[in-house]
Amino acid sequence: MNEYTDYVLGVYLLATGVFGGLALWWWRRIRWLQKRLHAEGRSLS
Amino acid sequence: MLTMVRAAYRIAWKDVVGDWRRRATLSSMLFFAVAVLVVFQVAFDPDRREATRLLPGLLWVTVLFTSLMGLGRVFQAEEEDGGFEGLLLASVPRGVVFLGKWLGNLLLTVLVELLLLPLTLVLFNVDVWGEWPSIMAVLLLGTLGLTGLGVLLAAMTQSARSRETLLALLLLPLTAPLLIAGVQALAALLEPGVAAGPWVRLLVIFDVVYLALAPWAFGWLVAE
Amino acid sequence: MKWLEKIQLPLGLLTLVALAVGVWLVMTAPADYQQGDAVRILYVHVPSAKMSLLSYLFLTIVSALFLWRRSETLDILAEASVAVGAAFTLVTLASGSIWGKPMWGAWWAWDARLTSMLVLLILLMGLMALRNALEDPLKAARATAVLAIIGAVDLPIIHYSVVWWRTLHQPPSFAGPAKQAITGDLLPPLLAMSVAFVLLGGYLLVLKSREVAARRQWEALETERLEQGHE
Repeated sequence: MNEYTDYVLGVYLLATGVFGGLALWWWRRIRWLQKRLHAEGRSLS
Repeated sequence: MLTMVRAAYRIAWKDVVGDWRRRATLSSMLFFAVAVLVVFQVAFDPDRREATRLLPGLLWVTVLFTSLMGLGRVFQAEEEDGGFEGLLLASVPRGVVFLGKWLGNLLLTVLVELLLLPLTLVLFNVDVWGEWPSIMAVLLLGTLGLTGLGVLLAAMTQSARSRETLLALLLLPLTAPLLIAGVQALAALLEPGVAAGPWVRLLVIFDVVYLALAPWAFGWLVAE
Repeated sequence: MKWLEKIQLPLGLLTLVALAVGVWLVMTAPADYQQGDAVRILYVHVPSAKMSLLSYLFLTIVSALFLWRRSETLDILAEASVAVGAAFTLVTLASGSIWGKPMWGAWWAWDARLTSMLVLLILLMGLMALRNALEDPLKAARATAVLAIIGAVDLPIIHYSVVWWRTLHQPPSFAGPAKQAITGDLLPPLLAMSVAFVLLGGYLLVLKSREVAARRQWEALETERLEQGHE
């Protein structure tokens, strides 16, 4: 532990937030769109 | 070949003369440029020495903002009366249509610059009248590439929603090298003992790249 | 785009494993004798910067191919790579800035790399805005492809003009992130994180492409229904 720990943690949390957040968001949107398309009798091509 | 040049010239001439009759673009560009100068003066209130130091950046920023006004209207007439299709249907290659549009915009922008430069020197009380021709030459050199890129982006955004904002958003980052080179070249002119050569060369590179790329890119943009 | 669906899960798992290995190596690597623990920021910053350039390279290739071939798949990949590239560019800028605070004593310095990265981010935002602002999908696809290629030509010019500008104007008093020689202890975590980020970029690209494809299909369905409603 030293004076830079906060900065390092900040960067790793930020990267996790950005990439993890985007992945989760897109993943959920695919599922949602797939469900709607399925309800219309279409499958995702 | 000659007919192509003539076609480009006709398109440019139609735009410039049409604009001159209505005094639409030219006058609004000019008044906008003056407004920018006033804003600068009020915001920074420079003394004589500061004004000389600020002059290169001031000139280029004014030119950049002012050219946005002109670029927003390059394809306006065609957009309004659907003449764009007509222009493209005319039996001239797309590259020639682009050249015509570019020439028209270049002419207007250079006209504004010719008036802007003495106006700036007077309003900011900067005594570099001796350097007048070389300053104008640098401005002109930068304007070639600026209008080339600008007309291409104007064609790209002409049917977009909120197109003037979009045009500014696209043009400003892409002209970063132009702004750097242009400002540094002018600064070198005004400061004895500094070579303007490398910056002028960068301006030339920018011009050559965009003027070579733009007609071709325009062709892709409006392809059937 | 069925093949994207097939590789999504394996690629995701592989990415997670690679990231876990990378982070473990980062945690166990010794601190740098000059930068201390701040060097660990570079294990995110450098791979992220490489990935933002790689995504732009991918975008350029896909855009050029689109103008040539006109396939919708290529356009979907182009739209997806803009979003993925923007994410990497954002993380690059933020991590560079956070690295700069303890190392330079300032959050931001107008050095060549950071400045070009910022211009890249604005350009990617412009690409997104242009696509949103054009109603005709074909026009939007064409315009963004052309703009992507213009950007690809412009980015090196921007980079070198900023380099010349900074070096001629004021000699660089500090090296930017990633300028230090990479030796010995730094190498294993950096390599591991680079591999992990390449996989992560691929995975994000697959996800975003599927999302774009599904959204377009949904929008096509909506317009179809709207047209039927009018009849």
